[in-house]
Formats: sequence, structure tokens, C-alpha cells
Amino acid sequence: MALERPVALTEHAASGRGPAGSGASEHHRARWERGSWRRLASSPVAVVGLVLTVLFVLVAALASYIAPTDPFSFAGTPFERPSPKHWLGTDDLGRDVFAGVVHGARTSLFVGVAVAGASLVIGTVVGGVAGFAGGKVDDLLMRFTELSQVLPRFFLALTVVALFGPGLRNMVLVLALTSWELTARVARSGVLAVKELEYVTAAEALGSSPWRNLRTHVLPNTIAPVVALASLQVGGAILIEASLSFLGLGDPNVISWGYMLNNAQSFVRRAWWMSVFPGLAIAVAVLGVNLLGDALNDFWNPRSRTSGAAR
Amino acid sequence: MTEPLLSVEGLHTHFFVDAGVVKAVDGVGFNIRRGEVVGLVGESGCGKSVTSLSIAGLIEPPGRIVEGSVRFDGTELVGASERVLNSVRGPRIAMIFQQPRASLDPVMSVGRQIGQALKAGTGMDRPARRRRAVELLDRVGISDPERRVREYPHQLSGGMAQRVMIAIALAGEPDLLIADEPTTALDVTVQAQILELLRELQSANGMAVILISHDLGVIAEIADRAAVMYAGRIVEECAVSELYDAPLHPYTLGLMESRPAASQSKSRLRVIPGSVPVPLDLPVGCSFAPRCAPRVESGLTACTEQAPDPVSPRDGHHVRCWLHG
Repeated sequence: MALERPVALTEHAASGRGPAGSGASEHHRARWERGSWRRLASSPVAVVGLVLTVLFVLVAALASYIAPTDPFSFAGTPFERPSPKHWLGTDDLGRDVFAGVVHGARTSLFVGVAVAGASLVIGTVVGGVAGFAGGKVDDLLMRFTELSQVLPRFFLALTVVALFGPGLRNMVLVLALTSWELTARVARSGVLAVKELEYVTAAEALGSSPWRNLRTHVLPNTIAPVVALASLQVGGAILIEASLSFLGLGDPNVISWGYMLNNAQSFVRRAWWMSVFPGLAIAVAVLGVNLLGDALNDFWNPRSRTSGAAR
Repeated sequence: MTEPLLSVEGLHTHFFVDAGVVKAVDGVGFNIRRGEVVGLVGESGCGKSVTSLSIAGLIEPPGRIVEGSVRFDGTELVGASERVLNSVRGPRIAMIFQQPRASLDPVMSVGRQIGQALKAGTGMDRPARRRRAVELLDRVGISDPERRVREYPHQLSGGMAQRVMIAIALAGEPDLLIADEPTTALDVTVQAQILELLRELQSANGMAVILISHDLGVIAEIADRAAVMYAGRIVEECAVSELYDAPLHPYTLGLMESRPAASQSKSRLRVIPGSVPVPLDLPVGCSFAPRCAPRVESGLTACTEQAPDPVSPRDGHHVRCWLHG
């Protein structure tokens, strides 16, 4: 037992530190985590994604403090150019564009996170059960998944909103119900690979029931790529929400970037700020979460691991 | 004599694959008493592991136990429900495997994995499980268990990982430990330590052990009795000392002679001619017959016509061979 921590040693080598002394397990673990963190932070893509995402989330969370004006209230005269009073100008009804952009972040973030979260849960459950149970259950669930996968997402959302009326809840619901297929497939393939591994058999040999095996051993070992995928879906959901709102099918009672763009259409030449700033906001937010999602995907993808894993 | 702890009779485990039926285990039977260590020896593919997985009810399609019985302490395990099996596996029968590191969940700390086993068996609360995990790590000879209990499998060496596996297996205080090639993936010094540990724990806890190995040295080290498997059957079963001093089956004899010995380092190793029969296409009669030199010498014809039944030329020494029948 001379060489007890091969991985730890490579970590030390990478960071140029000497091996830790004895009795330093918390530090050891912390260093391990810091090492992974450093790996993530060493990629510029990840850093840009992280910074933009954090900015996006902060703006959404602190919207009422950043822009105390109600985005629907008449804050000035129509079509005011950007000025110290109205940083991003006002729209055709004299509403503050800055307040609209800031509060719109809330809507976008809510839709993005709600859709991605729901697809994460549905996809993991469907894919996990399908992969773990195998056989007929697998066939049935995966055929169903494929069936849902061929539904054109955008037009389905369009139809549902047109039929049941615009509203955030309808939109989130329909997007969530049409975006879990890929998650399910990724979860299933992960489960298929992990359930054959020895530690799952070993756990079973020690009296772990199949259900507990799935929960405690199989899913935790499959979840990383699924979460990375979900983070990519945040961006997709934000875009669809913006597109629907742009077409006038958004929730008229909630400010959103798509709604602002829709409104700005008629005044593109007269008031460029009405369209440019919400458009920029969408671009930056989606870029941020996608870059972060990509980075997480790379980070958690076992094939891209060069130094971390020992085996 | 008292009832054996484990009694395997006429066990047939077959795998139904596209190319046909693989009779991985084809009529295995043996008994294990409480506190006894039995070695199961044989080449790769002779059915050792499938036998142990069959005992634990871990055979999965396309494999199936087609016939036979596994009685553990009065309970029939063949065809038993998952519930019964789960109540036996862990607290009563524990298993450890060849690749210790692959047998540990990479995302769970050592302490939690031991805790899982304790939760299944005892229903202790969290702090109690924690304390017990530390005790168990200490028991299997891991230094600084307070620290190790928080570590993850990737931070352990192979030998340590196997010690952790043993600790997990011991968590339920099983009556029977099935160790499937527990030392094969480890280097020789660590191998000796692990065997020593197994033997010590075995005598301290009075647990029975089935030790599966292709290494006769390992079996000699630790087992009381040994069973030699060939092509899905036990061809010889006896006390370990007798296996070494007076083997009866030509296959066992061949195995003994093909071991490298320190005294004859220059001479070429003796080998058993031919190779293990393809399990899809077992020869009629004794499956060892095509490779058996004594058969040719003796001119026996029964060997290629009918499979021999076990006979007992000596007390407690069973062999499946026409030469002794």
C-alpha cells in the first residue's frame, strides 16, 4: 500500500504541488474539487458562458431593484431616444425599454429553466426506466419517445397556444412535453452502459433491490450528460418563447423580449432602440447558457477527460 | 452429520444464445458446512463464476437455471422470488468480485457504500452506520479509517479497494462469502495480504467461504476442500491436502504438473494437450476424454460413449472418471 492515491498524485503534479501530508482528507477532497474547477475555468468558452449566465440570472433575480419602473407603465413620452433618464429609450407608448429588457429576463429565465427542468425530470424517468427495465418496457417507452420526437415542436406549440390561448403556463407545458425525448434517449443510453458495470452487479449481490440499485447507483452515474443536455435546452426554450411572443402568441400580461420585438416591428426605422436592445438581450442570454451548456457537456463527457479519471 | 449450510444439487445453468445452447454449468453439486472454506478451481470458462452467480440468483437472460437445486440453510434459492433473494443476499450470502475497483460505485464515498450494505441488513441509523463503517474498515486492515471512510473509490489502490469490498461484504455478517477470483487483479504481495485477511476473518467470524480461483496456489493457501471444475462439471472434489498429494482425475493431475515449480526452473513446463472443448459442442461421453492421455493408455472405450458419474474411491474423495469407476 505504498501508492494509495494515484489520482491525487496526478492532480498534484498538474498543480505543481507536492503530495499532501497525512490526515488532510478534507483538504484533499477540496483540492480535488478545486482541480476540476480549474479545469472548467481554464476554458475561455466556459468562462464567457458562465459570466454571461450569471449576469443573466442576476438581472432576472434583481429585476425590481435594477429597474424599479413597471415595464408596462407609461414612464415618459413615446419614442424617446436613449438618454440618462431612459437608458435604452422609450417605446411607442412611452414605456421604458430598459425596464422591459430587465424584466423580460425574468420571463425568459423562467421559461428556460422550467422547460429544461421538466424535460430533465420526464426524460430521466422515461429513459432511466426504459434502459433499466429493458425488454418490452424499453420497447414501449422508446417507441413512444420516438413518436413524440417526430412531432414538430414549434408548430405544436403554435397550435396549442392558438387553441388554448396565450399564457406562460400553456407555453411552458407544451414546450416541456415536447422537449424530453432527447433527454430520455441520453439517459437511457447512459443507464444501459452503467447497469452492466460490475458495481451494479456487486450491489445486487449484496442485497440491493433493483429499484434501489437504479436510484442509488445507476442514475447518479448517468446524470452528468443529462444535466449538460438540460442546460443546452434552456437556450432552446428561451428562443422558442421569444419566437412565439414575436408572433404575438406570448402572454400579453407578462413582459418578454419576444413581445417587445413584436411591438417594435412597426417602428424599426423610427426607433431602432426598441428592437435592438431586446434582440441583443436574447442573443446574449442564449449565447451565455449555450456556451455554459457546451462547456459542461465537454467537462462531463468521459471521452474528453484527459487527466481526471484514473481508470 | 448436521445439515450443510449450502447444498447444491444437479445444478444446470444454460445460456440460450443465437448459436445454440451453452451449457455453462452442467450438473454441479456440492455441499458446504458452516465455517468451511471450499475452493472452486478450473480454467477460464469452465463454469466457476456461473456456478457462483447461480447460487446468488444473479443469472440474467439469456442465461437460465434449467434444473437443479440450491438450498441455503433450508431455503430453496432456485426459483425463489426477488424478495427472498434480496433478503438472503447481503445479510446471509455476500459476494466479492475480481475487479475490486470496478465493483465500487465511483460517485459514492466508501463510507456511504458500506452504509448502504448496513442499511439493507440492519436498519441502523446514520451515525451508527457511520461508526460501524469505520469499525469495519479498521477490521479489514485499512489504516486511518476515519479518513478513508470519506474517500472515493478512485482514491484507493487496488488492494485497498478489495479490502473495502470485503468490508462491505462483511457488513451484513454473512454466513457464506462467495469470493470470485478475489486476488486475481492484485499483485502478488497484496494478494498474499488479502488471502491472509480473508482467512483471518473467516476463522474469527466462523463464516463459510467459496473461493473461486484458477490459481491452485491460492486454493492451497486457504481452502479446506477443493472442487475442480471442467467444462461445466465438478470432476474431482476432496480435501485440499489430498488434491495435492493424491489427485485422481487425469485433469487434476495435468493441472498439478503444469504448475511451474521452483526446483525445475530450466525444464519446459508440462502442459495438458489440446484445449477446452467449445461449450456449444461438448464431446459425447467424458468432456475431458479428447485430451486425456491415461484414457489412451488404458484403452477404455466407455470414456467416449457415456459421461462418467461421480464415484468415491476414498472417503470424502469424489471423482468423475471411468478410470476409477
